[in-house]
Amino acid sequence: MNRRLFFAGLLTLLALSGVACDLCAIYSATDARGESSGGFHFSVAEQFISFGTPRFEGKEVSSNGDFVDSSITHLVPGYNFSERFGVSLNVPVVYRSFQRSDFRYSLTGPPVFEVQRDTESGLGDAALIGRLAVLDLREMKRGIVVNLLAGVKFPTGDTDRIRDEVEQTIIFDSLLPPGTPHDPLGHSVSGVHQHELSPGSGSWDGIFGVTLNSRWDRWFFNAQVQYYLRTEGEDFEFGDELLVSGGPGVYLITDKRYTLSLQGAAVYETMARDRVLGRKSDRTGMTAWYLGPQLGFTWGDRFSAQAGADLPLVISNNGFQNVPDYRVHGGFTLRF
Amino acid sequence: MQFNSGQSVQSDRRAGGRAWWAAIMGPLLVLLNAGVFAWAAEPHIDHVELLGTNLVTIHFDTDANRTYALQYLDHLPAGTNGASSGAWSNLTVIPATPFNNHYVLVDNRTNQHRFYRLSVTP
Repeated sequence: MNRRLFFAGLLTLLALSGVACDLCAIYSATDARGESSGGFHFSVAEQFISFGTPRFEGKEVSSNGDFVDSSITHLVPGYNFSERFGVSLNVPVVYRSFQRSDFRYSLTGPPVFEVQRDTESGLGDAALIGRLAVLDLREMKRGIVVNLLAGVKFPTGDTDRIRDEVEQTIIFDSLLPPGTPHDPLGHSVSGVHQHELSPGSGSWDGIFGVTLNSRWDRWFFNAQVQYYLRTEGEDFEFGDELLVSGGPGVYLITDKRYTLSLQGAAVYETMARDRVLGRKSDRTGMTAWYLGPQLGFTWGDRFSAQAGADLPLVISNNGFQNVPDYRVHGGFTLRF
Repeated sequence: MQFNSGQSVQSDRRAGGRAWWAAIMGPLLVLLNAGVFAWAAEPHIDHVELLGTNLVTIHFDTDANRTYALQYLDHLPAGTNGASSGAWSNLTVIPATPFNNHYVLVDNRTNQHRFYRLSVTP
Protein backbone atom coordinates (compact mmCIF):
# COMPACT_ATOMS: atom_id res chain seq x y z
CA MET A 1 0.00 0.00 0.00
CA ASN A 2 2.79 2.38 0.91
CA ARG A 3 4.61 1.38 -2.24
CA ARG A 4 1.46 2.12 -4.27
CA LEU A 5 1.15 5.54 -2.67
CA PHE A 6 4.81 6.22 -3.34
CA PHE A 7 4.49 5.41 -7.05
CA ALA A 8 1.22 7.31 -7.33
CA GLY A 9 2.90 10.34 -5.78
CA LEU A 10 5.92 9.95 -8.04
CA LEU A 11 3.72 9.75 -11.15
CA THR A 12 1.79 12.82 -10.03
CA LEU A 13 5.04 14.74 -9.55
CA LEU A 14 6.31 13.63 -12.95
CA ALA A 15 3.03 14.58 -14.54
CA LEU A 16 3.04 17.99 -12.89
CA SER A 17 6.62 18.60 -13.85
CA GLY A 18 5.68 17.47 -17.33
CA VAL A 19 2.89 20.04 -17.48
CA ALA A 20 5.24 22.75 -16.26
CA CYS A 21 7.82 21.76 -18.90
CA ASP A 22 5.10 21.61 -21.54
CA LEU A 23 4.27 25.22 -20.86
CA CYS A 24 7.96 26.11 -20.73
CA ALA A 25 8.38 24.53 -24.12
CA ILE A 26 5.32 26.28 -25.53
CA TYR A 27 6.40 29.53 -23.94
CA SER A 28 9.88 29.30 -25.44
CA ALA A 29 8.46 28.23 -28.81
CA THR A 30 7.24 31.78 -29.28
CA ASP A 31 10.79 32.98 -28.76
CA ALA A 32 12.14 30.36 -31.14
CA ARG A 33 9.98 31.79 -33.87
CA GLY A 34 11.71 35.09 -33.33
CA GLU A 35 8.41 36.85 -32.85
CA SER A 36 8.93 38.64 -29.62
CA SER A 37 12.52 38.47 -28.53
CA GLY A 38 15.37 40.87 -29.08
CA GLY A 39 18.35 40.35 -31.36
CA PHE A 40 19.08 39.00 -34.81
CA HIS A 41 17.06 36.31 -36.52
CA PHE A 42 17.21 34.77 -39.95
CA SER A 43 14.48 32.92 -41.79
CA VAL A 44 14.29 30.93 -44.98
CA ALA A 45 10.81 30.30 -46.34
CA GLU A 46 9.79 28.50 -49.48
CA GLN A 47 6.44 28.60 -51.23
CA PHE A 48 5.59 26.41 -54.21
CA ILE A 49 2.41 26.95 -56.20
CA SER A 50 1.21 24.85 -59.09
CA PHE A 51 -0.90 26.86 -61.54
CA GLY A 52 -2.17 24.05 -63.72
CA THR A 53 -5.91 24.52 -63.86
CA PRO A 54 -7.34 26.90 -66.48
CA ARG A 55 -10.56 28.64 -65.53
CA PHE A 56 -12.76 30.99 -67.46
CA GLU A 57 -14.87 33.29 -65.27
CA GLY A 58 -14.55 30.85 -62.37
CA LYS A 59 -15.45 27.71 -64.33
CA GLU A 60 -12.84 25.07 -65.04
CA VAL A 61 -12.22 24.53 -68.75
CA SER A 62 -10.17 22.04 -70.71
CA SER A 63 -6.44 22.60 -70.56
CA ASN A 64 -4.21 23.24 -73.54
CA GLY A 65 -1.19 22.22 -71.50
CA ASP A 66 -0.20 25.68 -70.27
CA PHE A 67 1.03 25.78 -66.68
CA VAL A 68 3.23 27.60 -64.21
CA ASP A 69 5.15 25.92 -61.40
CA SER A 70 6.17 28.82 -59.21
CA SER A 71 8.81 28.58 -56.51
CA ILE A 72 9.72 31.55 -54.34
CA THR A 73 12.41 31.23 -51.70
CA HIS A 74 12.37 34.08 -49.20
CA LEU A 75 15.59 34.94 -47.37
CA VAL A 76 14.65 37.07 -44.39
CA PRO A 77 17.31 38.54 -42.11
CA GLY A 78 15.82 40.56 -39.29
CA TYR A 79 16.63 42.40 -36.13
CA ASN A 80 14.44 43.01 -33.12
CA PHE A 81 15.52 46.19 -31.34
CA SER A 82 13.34 45.19 -28.42
CA GLU A 83 10.52 42.80 -27.72
CA ARG A 84 8.15 45.36 -29.16
CA PHE A 85 9.95 46.66 -32.22
CA GLY A 86 11.83 44.99 -35.05
CA VAL A 87 12.59 45.14 -38.75
CA SER A 88 12.99 42.45 -41.40
CA LEU A 89 14.35 42.49 -44.92
CA ASN A 90 12.64 40.06 -47.27
CA VAL A 91 14.73 39.03 -50.28
CA PRO A 92 12.81 36.66 -52.56
CA VAL A 93 14.48 34.42 -55.10
CA VAL A 94 12.04 33.42 -57.84
CA TYR A 95 12.11 30.35 -60.05
CA ARG A 96 9.23 29.63 -62.41
CA SER A 97 8.89 26.81 -64.87
CA PHE A 98 6.09 27.33 -67.36
CA GLN A 99 4.42 26.74 -70.68
CA ARG A 100 2.33 29.43 -72.33
CA SER A 101 0.63 29.35 -75.73
CA ASP A 102 -0.11 32.76 -77.11
CA PHE A 103 -0.11 35.04 -80.13
CA ARG A 104 2.76 37.40 -80.63
CA TYR A 105 1.76 40.54 -82.51
CA SER A 106 4.03 42.70 -84.61
CA LEU A 107 3.62 45.68 -86.89
CA THR A 108 5.41 44.03 -89.75
CA GLY A 109 3.36 40.92 -90.40
CA PRO A 110 0.73 38.47 -89.22
CA PRO A 111 0.78 37.46 -85.53
CA VAL A 112 2.60 34.26 -84.76
CA PHE A 113 1.11 31.67 -82.46
CA GLU A 114 3.86 30.24 -80.32
CA VAL A 115 4.09 27.71 -77.54
CA GLN A 116 6.84 28.75 -75.14
CA ARG A 117 8.15 26.26 -72.60
CA ASP A 118 10.82 27.86 -70.49
CA THR A 119 11.89 29.00 -67.05
CA GLU A 120 12.06 32.43 -65.50
CA SER A 121 14.24 33.05 -62.51
CA GLY A 122 16.02 35.76 -60.58
CA LEU A 123 15.78 38.13 -57.70
CA GLY A 124 12.27 39.24 -56.86
CA ASP A 125 11.11 42.46 -55.26
CA ALA A 126 12.81 42.96 -51.89
CA ALA A 127 10.80 44.42 -49.02
CA LEU A 128 11.67 46.12 -45.75
CA ILE A 129 9.06 45.53 -43.08
CA GLY A 130 8.78 46.97 -39.60
CA ARG A 131 6.99 45.30 -36.69
CA LEU A 132 5.45 46.96 -33.67
CA ALA A 133 3.87 44.90 -30.89
CA VAL A 134 0.84 46.83 -29.73
CA LEU A 135 -0.28 44.11 -27.31
CA ASP A 136 2.08 41.72 -25.60
CA LEU A 137 0.67 39.77 -22.68
CA ARG A 138 2.61 36.61 -21.99
CA GLU A 139 2.39 34.28 -19.07
CA MET A 140 3.37 30.67 -18.66
CA LYS A 141 -0.13 29.31 -19.26
CA ARG A 142 -1.51 31.82 -21.71
CA GLY A 143 -0.51 34.70 -23.90
CA ILE A 144 -1.62 37.05 -26.61
CA VAL A 145 0.56 39.11 -28.92
CA VAL A 146 -0.72 41.54 -31.53
CA ASN A 147 1.75 43.01 -34.01
CA LEU A 148 1.29 45.78 -36.53
CA LEU A 149 3.33 45.44 -39.70
CA ALA A 150 4.15 48.09 -42.26
CA GLY A 151 6.71 48.19 -44.99
CA VAL A 152 7.80 49.03 -48.48
CA LYS A 153 8.40 46.71 -51.39
CA PHE A 154 11.13 47.87 -53.77
CA PRO A 155 11.23 47.31 -57.54
CA THR A 156 14.36 45.17 -57.42
CA GLY A 157 13.09 42.28 -59.54
CA ASP A 158 13.49 41.88 -63.27
CA THR A 159 10.54 43.20 -65.29
CA ASP A 160 11.35 42.19 -68.88
CA ARG A 161 8.16 40.11 -69.03
CA ILE A 162 5.99 43.05 -67.98
CA ARG A 163 7.66 45.36 -70.47
CA ASP A 164 7.03 42.84 -73.24
CA GLU A 165 3.37 42.46 -72.23
CA VAL A 166 2.87 46.23 -72.25
CA GLU A 167 4.59 46.42 -75.65
CA GLN A 168 2.18 43.80 -77.01
CA THR A 169 -0.71 45.92 -75.71
CA ILE A 170 0.66 48.98 -77.50
CA ILE A 171 1.03 47.05 -80.78
CA PHE A 172 -2.47 45.56 -80.49
CA ASP A 173 -3.92 48.98 -79.68
CA SER A 174 -2.36 50.40 -82.84
CA LEU A 175 -4.14 47.81 -84.97
CA LEU A 176 -7.56 48.97 -83.80
CA PRO A 177 -9.39 52.10 -84.89
CA PRO A 178 -8.96 54.82 -82.25
CA GLY A 179 -11.54 54.60 -79.47
CA THR A 180 -12.39 50.93 -80.06
CA PRO A 181 -13.37 49.49 -76.67
CA HIS A 182 -11.27 46.47 -75.82
CA ASP A 183 -9.43 44.87 -72.94
CA PRO A 184 -5.80 46.00 -72.58
CA LEU A 185 -4.80 42.33 -72.47
CA GLY A 186 -7.07 41.54 -75.44
CA HIS A 187 -4.05 40.44 -77.44
CA SER A 188 -3.48 37.44 -75.16
CA VAL A 189 -5.33 34.14 -75.43
CA SER A 190 -3.26 32.30 -72.83
CA GLY A 191 -4.29 31.50 -69.29
CA VAL A 192 -0.72 32.29 -68.27
CA HIS A 193 -0.04 36.00 -68.60
CA GLN A 194 3.45 37.38 -68.88
CA HIS A 195 3.13 39.59 -65.80
CA GLU A 196 2.46 36.46 -63.74
CA LEU A 197 5.87 35.11 -64.73
CA SER A 198 7.75 38.28 -63.96
CA PRO A 199 10.07 38.07 -60.92
CA GLY A 200 9.59 41.80 -60.30
CA SER A 201 6.63 44.15 -60.40
CA GLY A 202 8.53 47.31 -61.31
CA SER A 203 6.63 49.23 -58.67
CA TRP A 204 7.09 50.63 -55.18
CA ASP A 205 4.34 49.06 -53.11
CA GLY A 206 3.07 49.44 -49.58
CA ILE A 207 2.66 46.46 -47.27
CA PHE A 208 0.42 46.63 -44.22
CA GLY A 209 -0.59 43.92 -41.81
CA VAL A 210 -1.76 42.77 -38.43
CA THR A 211 -0.81 39.50 -36.77
CA LEU A 212 -2.43 37.85 -33.79
CA ASN A 213 -0.78 35.03 -31.83
CA SER A 214 -2.73 33.73 -28.87
CA ARG A 215 -2.48 30.58 -26.78
CA TRP A 216 -4.13 28.92 -23.86
CA ASP A 217 -2.39 25.95 -22.36
CA ARG A 218 -1.78 23.57 -25.30
CA TRP A 219 -4.16 25.39 -27.63
CA PHE A 220 -3.43 28.37 -29.77
CA PHE A 221 -5.03 30.56 -32.42
CA ASN A 222 -3.02 32.53 -34.92
CA ALA A 223 -4.32 34.93 -37.55
CA GLN A 224 -2.94 37.57 -39.85
CA VAL A 225 -4.25 40.17 -42.23
CA GLN A 226 -2.03 41.54 -45.01
CA TYR A 227 -2.79 44.27 -47.49
CA TYR A 228 -0.59 45.05 -50.48
CA LEU A 229 -1.10 48.54 -51.85
CA ARG A 230 0.16 48.46 -55.41
CA THR A 231 1.38 51.35 -57.48
CA GLU A 232 2.22 51.65 -61.16
CA GLY A 233 5.57 50.60 -62.55
CA GLU A 234 6.60 49.93 -66.16
CA ASP A 235 3.13 51.16 -67.25
CA PHE A 236 1.65 48.18 -65.39
CA GLU A 237 -0.11 48.20 -62.04
CA PHE A 238 -0.89 44.97 -60.23
CA GLY A 239 -4.24 44.99 -58.44
CA ASP A 240 -4.22 45.53 -54.69
CA GLU A 241 -4.22 42.32 -52.69
CA LEU A 242 -5.88 41.39 -49.41
CA LEU A 243 -4.89 38.23 -47.60
CA VAL A 244 -6.51 36.95 -44.40
CA SER A 245 -5.35 33.69 -42.87
CA GLY A 246 -5.44 31.87 -39.58
CA GLY A 247 -6.95 29.13 -37.54
CA PRO A 248 -6.80 27.11 -34.36
CA GLY A 249 -3.99 24.76 -33.42
CA VAL A 250 -2.72 22.48 -30.73
CA TYR A 251 0.68 21.51 -29.37
CA LEU A 252 0.87 17.77 -30.02
CA ILE A 253 4.27 17.22 -28.42
CA THR A 254 5.77 19.40 -25.74
CA ASP A 255 9.15 18.43 -24.51
CA LYS A 256 11.70 20.47 -22.59
CA ARG A 257 13.80 20.65 -25.76
CA TYR A 258 11.24 20.67 -28.55
CA THR A 259 7.59 21.14 -29.48
CA LEU A 260 5.44 19.97 -32.36
CA SER A 261 2.17 21.70 -33.18
CA LEU A 262 -0.60 21.21 -35.70
CA GLN A 263 -2.80 24.00 -36.98
CA GLY A 264 -5.80 24.06 -39.27
CA ALA A 265 -5.38 27.17 -41.37
CA ALA A 266 -7.90 28.87 -43.63
CA VAL A 267 -6.77 31.45 -46.16
CA TYR A 268 -8.86 34.08 -47.93
CA GLU A 269 -7.11 35.88 -50.74
CA THR A 270 -8.49 38.47 -53.11
CA MET A 271 -6.62 40.34 -55.85
CA ALA A 272 -8.10 43.29 -57.68
CA ARG A 273 -7.88 43.72 -61.43
CA ASP A 274 -4.54 44.81 -62.87
CA ARG A 275 -4.13 47.97 -64.92
CA VAL A 276 -2.18 48.17 -68.15
CA LEU A 277 -1.38 51.65 -69.44
CA GLY A 278 -3.88 52.94 -66.89
CA ARG A 279 -6.71 50.73 -68.15
CA LYS A 280 -8.25 48.02 -66.01
CA SER A 281 -8.09 44.49 -67.42
CA ASP A 282 -11.10 42.21 -66.93
CA ARG A 283 -8.83 39.26 -67.61
CA THR A 284 -7.06 39.61 -64.27
CA GLY A 285 -7.99 39.45 -60.60
CA MET A 286 -9.33 36.60 -58.53
CA THR A 287 -10.69 35.61 -55.14
CA ALA A 288 -9.89 32.30 -53.51
CA TRP A 289 -10.44 30.35 -50.31
CA TYR A 290 -7.91 27.76 -49.20
CA LEU A 291 -7.82 25.30 -46.33
CA GLY A 292 -4.95 23.20 -45.12
CA PRO A 293 -2.87 21.85 -42.27
CA GLN A 294 0.27 23.45 -40.92
CA LEU A 295 2.89 21.76 -38.79
CA GLY A 296 5.13 23.75 -36.48
CA PHE A 297 8.30 22.57 -34.82
CA THR A 298 10.59 24.31 -32.37
CA TRP A 299 13.92 23.19 -30.97
CA GLY A 300 14.95 25.05 -27.84
CA ASP A 301 14.35 28.75 -28.02
CA ARG A 302 16.50 29.45 -31.08
CA PHE A 303 15.20 27.24 -33.87
CA SER A 304 11.76 26.83 -35.35
CA ALA A 305 10.43 25.27 -38.54
CA GLN A 306 7.07 24.98 -40.18
CA ALA A 307 5.47 23.33 -43.16
CA GLY A 308 1.98 23.40 -44.58
CA ALA A 309 -0.27 23.07 -47.57
CA ASP A 310 -3.18 25.09 -48.91
CA LEU A 311 -5.84 23.34 -50.93
CA PRO A 312 -8.25 25.58 -52.85
CA LEU A 313 -11.87 25.32 -51.78
CA VAL A 314 -13.37 28.07 -53.93
CA ILE A 315 -11.75 30.09 -56.69
CA SER A 316 -13.49 32.86 -58.55
CA ASN A 317 -11.44 34.48 -61.30
CA ASN A 318 -11.97 37.04 -64.04
CA GLY A 319 -11.45 36.12 -67.66
CA PHE A 320 -9.22 33.22 -68.64
CA GLN A 321 -6.50 32.39 -66.14
CA ASN A 322 -4.58 29.45 -64.81
CA VAL A 323 -5.35 29.22 -61.09
CA PRO A 324 -3.60 27.32 -58.27
CA ASP A 325 -4.11 23.57 -57.95
CA TYR A 326 -2.41 23.61 -54.57
CA ARG A 327 0.21 25.50 -52.58
CA VAL A 328 2.84 24.07 -50.28
CA HIS A 329 5.08 26.11 -48.04
CA GLY A 330 7.72 25.57 -45.43
CA GLY A 331 10.64 27.26 -43.75
CA PHE A 332 12.76 27.71 -40.68
CA THR A 333 13.93 30.52 -38.41
CA LEU A 334 17.18 30.79 -36.52
CA ARG A 335 17.47 33.24 -33.64
CA PHE A 336 20.91 34.41 -32.64
CA MET B 1 -69.94 13.31 -54.28
CA GLN B 2 -69.60 12.08 -57.86
CA PHE B 3 -69.30 15.64 -59.07
CA ASN B 4 -66.58 16.24 -56.60
CA SER B 5 -64.90 13.04 -57.62
CA GLY B 6 -65.15 13.96 -61.33
CA GLN B 7 -63.72 17.40 -60.63
CA SER B 8 -60.94 15.73 -58.82
CA VAL B 9 -60.16 13.46 -61.79
CA GLN B 10 -60.27 16.45 -64.17
CA SER B 11 -58.00 18.36 -61.82
CA ASP B 12 -55.63 15.41 -61.71
CA ARG B 13 -55.60 15.30 -65.50
CA ARG B 14 -54.80 19.00 -65.68
CA ALA B 15 -52.11 18.50 -63.08
CA GLY B 16 -50.84 15.51 -65.04
CA GLY B 17 -50.83 17.61 -68.20
CA ARG B 18 -48.88 20.39 -66.50
CA ALA B 19 -46.41 17.84 -65.13
CA TRP B 20 -45.98 16.36 -68.62
CA TRP B 21 -45.47 19.83 -70.10
CA ALA B 22 -43.07 20.78 -67.34
CA ALA B 23 -41.19 17.50 -67.77
CA ILE B 24 -40.55 18.33 -71.44
CA MET B 25 -40.06 22.07 -71.19
CA GLY B 26 -37.98 22.15 -68.00
CA PRO B 27 -34.96 20.28 -69.36
CA LEU B 28 -35.43 21.99 -72.76
CA LEU B 29 -35.19 25.40 -71.15
CA VAL B 30 -32.17 24.28 -69.16
CA LEU B 31 -30.45 23.08 -72.34
CA LEU B 32 -31.36 26.26 -74.19
CA ASN B 33 -30.10 28.32 -71.30
CA ALA B 34 -26.85 26.33 -71.31
CA GLY B 35 -26.42 27.11 -75.01
CA VAL B 36 -26.59 23.45 -76.05
CA PHE B 37 -28.90 24.23 -78.97
CA ALA B 38 -27.30 27.56 -79.77
CA TRP B 39 -26.43 27.85 -83.42
CA ALA B 40 -22.74 28.32 -84.04
CA ALA B 41 -22.21 31.58 -85.89
CA GLU B 42 -21.05 31.37 -89.47
CA PRO B 43 -17.43 32.47 -89.77
CA HIS B 44 -17.52 36.04 -90.89
CA ILE B 45 -14.86 38.63 -91.63
CA ASP B 46 -16.09 41.93 -90.22
CA HIS B 47 -13.89 44.15 -92.29
CA VAL B 48 -10.50 44.59 -93.90
CA GLU B 49 -8.77 47.93 -93.72
CA LEU B 50 -5.50 49.52 -94.62
CA LEU B 51 -2.94 50.18 -91.91
CA GLY B 52 -0.27 52.63 -92.95
CA THR B 53 1.17 52.08 -96.39
CA ASN B 54 2.33 48.47 -96.23
CA LEU B 55 -0.18 46.64 -94.04
CA VAL B 56 -3.81 45.61 -93.92
CA THR B 57 -5.77 44.46 -90.88
CA ILE B 58 -8.47 41.80 -90.99
CA HIS B 59 -11.08 41.92 -88.22
CA PHE B 60 -13.36 39.05 -87.16
CA ASP B 61 -15.04 37.45 -84.16
CA THR B 62 -14.50 33.88 -83.02
CA ASP B 63 -16.67 31.48 -81.04
CA ALA B 64 -15.42 29.49 -78.08
CA ASN B 65 -14.05 26.00 -78.63
CA ARG B 66 -13.66 26.32 -82.42
CA THR B 67 -10.46 26.44 -84.43
CA TYR B 68 -10.23 29.16 -87.08
CA ALA B 69 -7.90 29.57 -90.02
CA LEU B 70 -7.61 32.85 -91.86
CA GLN B 71 -6.70 31.87 -95.39
CA TYR B 72 -5.65 33.88 -98.42
CA LEU B 73 -5.41 33.54 -102.15
CA ASP B 74 -3.63 35.97 -104.46
CA HIS B 75 -5.28 34.95 -107.72
CA LEU B 76 -8.69 33.42 -108.16
CA PRO B 77 -8.53 30.75 -110.85
CA ALA B 78 -10.60 31.77 -113.88
CA GLY B 79 -14.03 30.14 -114.05
CA THR B 80 -14.08 29.03 -110.44
CA ASN B 81 -15.05 30.72 -107.23
CA GLY B 82 -11.82 29.57 -105.67
CA ALA B 83 -13.64 27.60 -103.04
CA SER B 84 -12.36 24.22 -104.10
CA SER B 85 -9.26 25.12 -106.01
CA GLY B 86 -7.01 23.96 -103.14
CA ALA B 87 -4.77 26.96 -103.60
CA TRP B 88 -5.75 28.70 -100.38
CA SER B 89 -2.94 29.19 -97.88
CA ASN B 90 -3.17 29.71 -94.17
CA LEU B 91 -2.19 33.17 -93.02
CA THR B 92 -2.87 32.42 -89.35
CA VAL B 93 -4.41 29.47 -87.53
CA ILE B 94 -6.20 30.32 -84.29
CA PRO B 95 -6.46 27.40 -81.86
CA ALA B 96 -9.71 26.84 -80.00
CA THR B 97 -10.04 28.86 -76.83
CA PRO B 98 -12.68 28.44 -74.12
CA PHE B 99 -14.09 31.92 -74.73
CA ASN B 100 -15.37 34.11 -77.58
CA ASN B 101 -12.89 36.61 -78.85
CA HIS B 102 -12.27 39.30 -81.42
CA TYR B 103 -9.17 39.11 -83.58
CA VAL B 104 -7.33 41.73 -85.56
CA LEU B 105 -4.76 40.10 -87.78
CA VAL B 106 -2.16 41.94 -89.79
CA ASP B 107 -0.99 41.10 -93.29
CA ASN B 108 1.58 42.69 -95.58
CA ARG B 109 0.43 44.44 -98.74
CA THR B 110 2.60 42.50 -101.12
CA ASN B 111 0.19 42.32 -104.04
CA GLN B 112 -2.32 44.58 -105.73
CA HIS B 113 -5.10 42.32 -104.54
CA ARG B 114 -5.55 39.41 -102.16
CA PHE B 115 -8.63 37.37 -101.24
CA TYR B 116 -9.33 36.25 -97.67
CA ARG B 117 -11.63 33.64 -96.21
CA LEU B 118 -12.22 32.25 -92.76
CA SER B 119 -12.29 28.51 -92.27
CA VAL B 120 -13.64 27.03 -89.04
CA THR B 121 -13.74 23.60 -87.42
CA PRO B 122 -15.78 22.00 -86.06
